[in-house]
Parts: sequence; structure tokens; C-alpha cells
Amino acid sequence: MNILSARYWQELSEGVGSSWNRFWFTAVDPLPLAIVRIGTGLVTLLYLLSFNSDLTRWFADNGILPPAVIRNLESLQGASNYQFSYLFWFDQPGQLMALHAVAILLALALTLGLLTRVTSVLTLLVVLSYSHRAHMLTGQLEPVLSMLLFYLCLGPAGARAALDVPLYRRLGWKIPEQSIGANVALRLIQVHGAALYAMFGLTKLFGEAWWGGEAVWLLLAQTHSRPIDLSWLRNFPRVLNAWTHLIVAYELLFPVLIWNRLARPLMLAIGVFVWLSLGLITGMVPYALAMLVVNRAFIPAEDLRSRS
Amino acid sequence: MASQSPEKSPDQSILFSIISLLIVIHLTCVFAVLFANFRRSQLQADLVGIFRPYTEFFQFDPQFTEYFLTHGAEQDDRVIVVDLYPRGDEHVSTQEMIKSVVLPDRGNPWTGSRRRYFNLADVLGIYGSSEQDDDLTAVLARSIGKRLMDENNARAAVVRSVQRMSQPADVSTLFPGFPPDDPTAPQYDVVIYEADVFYDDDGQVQVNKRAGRGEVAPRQGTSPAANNR
Repeated sequence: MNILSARYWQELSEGVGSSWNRFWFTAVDPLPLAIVRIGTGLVTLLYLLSFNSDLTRWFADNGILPPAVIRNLESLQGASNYQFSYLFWFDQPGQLMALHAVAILLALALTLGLLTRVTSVLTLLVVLSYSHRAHMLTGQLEPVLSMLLFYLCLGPAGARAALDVPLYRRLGWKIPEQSIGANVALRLIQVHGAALYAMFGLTKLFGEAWWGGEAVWLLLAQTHSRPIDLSWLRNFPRVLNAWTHLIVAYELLFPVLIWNRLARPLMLAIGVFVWLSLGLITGMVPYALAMLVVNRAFIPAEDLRSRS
Repeated sequence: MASQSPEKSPDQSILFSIISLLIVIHLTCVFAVLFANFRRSQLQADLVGIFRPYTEFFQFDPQFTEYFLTHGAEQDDRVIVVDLYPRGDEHVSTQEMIKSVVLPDRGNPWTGSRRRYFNLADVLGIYGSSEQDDDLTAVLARSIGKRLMDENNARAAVVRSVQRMSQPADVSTLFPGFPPDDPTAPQYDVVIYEADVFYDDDGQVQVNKRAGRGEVAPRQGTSPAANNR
């Protein structure tokens, strides 16, 4: 077919259009989105609970990063700011602890699927507020967690495996069997997740440690941050090399192979090893779990139901 | 995915078109910021700036977060070491240290609570190694020092960002003087930033930077305090 012919462009347009509509606007069972909701809620709980011991040390008026210090830093950096955090309005330890308790309850309600349409939005605002409150404390987890929570707000995340289900039945409200909104939310998590993987892999390619097979050693050689001492693995350099290469290969192949029906289960299984092992050697367990939640968004409802 | 094929009414068709447009705009923003995470061209920098109100508010933009995890020694652990002294009106060299606190001094290694201290130490080290960012570093050092002094009834402190160089897997390649059997030995610690923080006579907290990166050699003594005064 000639690229200059009008027919080619018409067929291309129709083909892309129908594929696009099928990809985004097919109604699906909301169960996978509910599973993502539960996983995201648990990671959010872990994230919030990790502030328990240090909340006032960080954010109180006599803390390390009181609102005035953050404002001072921002004015010195001279950058405009598009961040929102209700935590800037409160700097007394009692206020902070009360708000923290409410935040934990909201995340718990989201996990259980209670008033999900409301609690998903509020939990997103909570996580954004914690991470925007002092951006120098944030790491790899927060952008992934915010992304998951944002997309949960778009779909019926409480239509399965949720306390909303009996509540809606009692009120006589309709619970969707199939939902286009659920598909849009899941597809956005999938596409955004695939882009994240591509970014992870590509940025690793810039570093000699990942090419040279030493990166995993460098991670587990960090005596302050590593949660357990696995330095005895230095006696098995080929294992460390293979582990390093596997992580890079996985992250580079994921955005391509995850869309293939046959390769998907394999990619998801390898992902469990990759993320749990990274959590083990770095201590970044919430981040690793958040990425496993992203991976769960690729498991369709029929696979989830056949397992159960 | 389980499917019901998208049969569309005219109204639905318009709705799908609007949603499609929003998806394209959203994903354009997301892709632009994600792929400007490590290095960025002028075009990427411009796009990141244009999309910033949206991508920063919802935190789609990870900025320069190190998702590569490590590229080598630059990403070695950094901690904040704070030596505390009882009097603010007297130089610390003439005083007996109350205690030395290493941040993180609490938290669970699995939940991310300790990692916030590492992130702060990174920021202190990065700003501290640049003369242009002295004001930023001073604000952070003052705030860290003040909190730790208040917690421990101290009036003066020495605040440091200390990087611990990681051992190579093959310890036979270590330089002389670095003990192969103790990766936590002081020889592996490098001071990236160091400042005196103290309460002055008016009860205000003052900060004086001591040295930036490259001006302080790896420590050879056993106590952080012993080697720097």
C-alpha cells in the first residue's frame, strides 16, 4: 500500500481509531481496580504509619522543618510553587497528631472500600499534602503512590471487594457489573506504569554500575540504609552480576512484553522477585510494594476469578 | 480484559472524544515529565515548565528522583551527624561534648521512616558542596541543629553531612588504610558539609559553615568530633 494514497491514510485512521476505542472504552469488570485499591490503600497506610515516630519532629513549629523553614527555602530557591499541603496550616504537635489519625482512618476506609468515591479523593489529598509539605524528604515512593491514588479516583474502585457493596445494596443504588470508567482507570495505571518502567530502565543505562554488573553490590554495601547484611554475597560475584542484569533487562523489557498475552504472566512473576529483592536489599519496601500494585493492574478479572 | 464492545450512541461518541482528548493531554504531560527525570534537553525543560502547574500539583513529575537507585559512589549513604555542646557563647573546641547524634537515630528500616533522614542528608550534602547554595544549606543546618539542641538541652552543635564510602565487592582492591573487615570504620566516612550552630546571647540560632566538599579529607580518627576540632 502506498503511503501517498488517500486509502492508506483512511485505513490507518480507522484502524487507530477502532483500536483506541477498544483499548480505552471497553467496559470491564471492576474487580482488578478493586484489587489495586486494596493494595494502594495498604501501601498508603504503611506510608502514613512510617511518620508515626517522627511527625512532630519533622513538621511541628519546633521541628526540623517547620512551615517557616520550608517557605524560607522556597524563597531562596526562587521557584514558583504549585504544591498543596494542608499541613502548612498546622504546626502544633496536638493538631498534627489529630490530623495524622484522621489521615490514617481515611486510608483505612479506602482500603476497606468504604465511601470509596470520597475517601479516594481525600486520601490522594492526604498523600499529596504529606509529600508536598517537605519535598526534600520524599523519595521514589511518593510519585508512584500519588499516581495510583489519582487513577483510583477516576473509576469505580469500590464496586467490588468493598464495604460500599452492601451499603449501596441497602440504599438501592446500582453497582456496575461492567464499567468503562474502571477500564479507563486501569489502562491509565498500565500506560503510566509502563512509562515508569521505561524511565527506570533507561536511566539505569546511563550508569556504569548497571552495565558493569556491580549495582546490586553497591546497594547492599550501604551500611547505614540496608535493612539486613547480605554482604556475604560478595563471594558470589556472578550472582550479583546476574541479579543486576536481570533488573535492568526486566525494566527495559516490561513496557514492551507486558502487553503480550503470553509474556505477561512471566513478566509479572519475575516482577515479584525483582521488587521483593530490591525491597530486601534497599529497605524501600513501600516503594517495592507500590510497584507490585502497579503490576497487579495488568491482571484481568477473568484471571483473578479463575484463581479464586 | 473482559469486554463489552464499545457500541456508541451519538452522545456517547462525543463523550468518548472529549475523554480521549483529555487522556492524550494527560499522557503527554506525564511522558514529558517522566522522560526528563535524568537529563533534559531545552525542549524537555520548556515542556516540564509548561506542564508544571498540573504535574507538580498531582506529583506526576518525579523531578530528579533517583529511580536508577545507584550509579556508583555518588549514591553512597549519607547521614547527618550532630555533635552537641552545653554552651553557645564558647567555642566547641574548649567544651566537652554532651553527645553525638547520628540521624537517622530512630525509625524502622523497612518502612521508609529512616530513609527520610538519608534524603535530608543528601540535600544537605548536595547544597553544601556548592558555594552558591550556602544560604540554603545554612537554613537547613540551623533548623537541624536547633531541633537537636532543644531535644538535648544543648546550646551549641556541629552539624555535618557525612558520606560513608561503600566497600568494593573485592576487598583486595581497597586502598591501604581502609580495613577490609569493617566497612563501618571511620576511614570510610567523608565529611561533605560541616557547620557550627549555636545560640547567641540574644537567644537566636546562628550558623557558620566550616568546610565544603573537597576541603576535608576522609577522617582517620575514631570520633567524628576528635578529627574536626
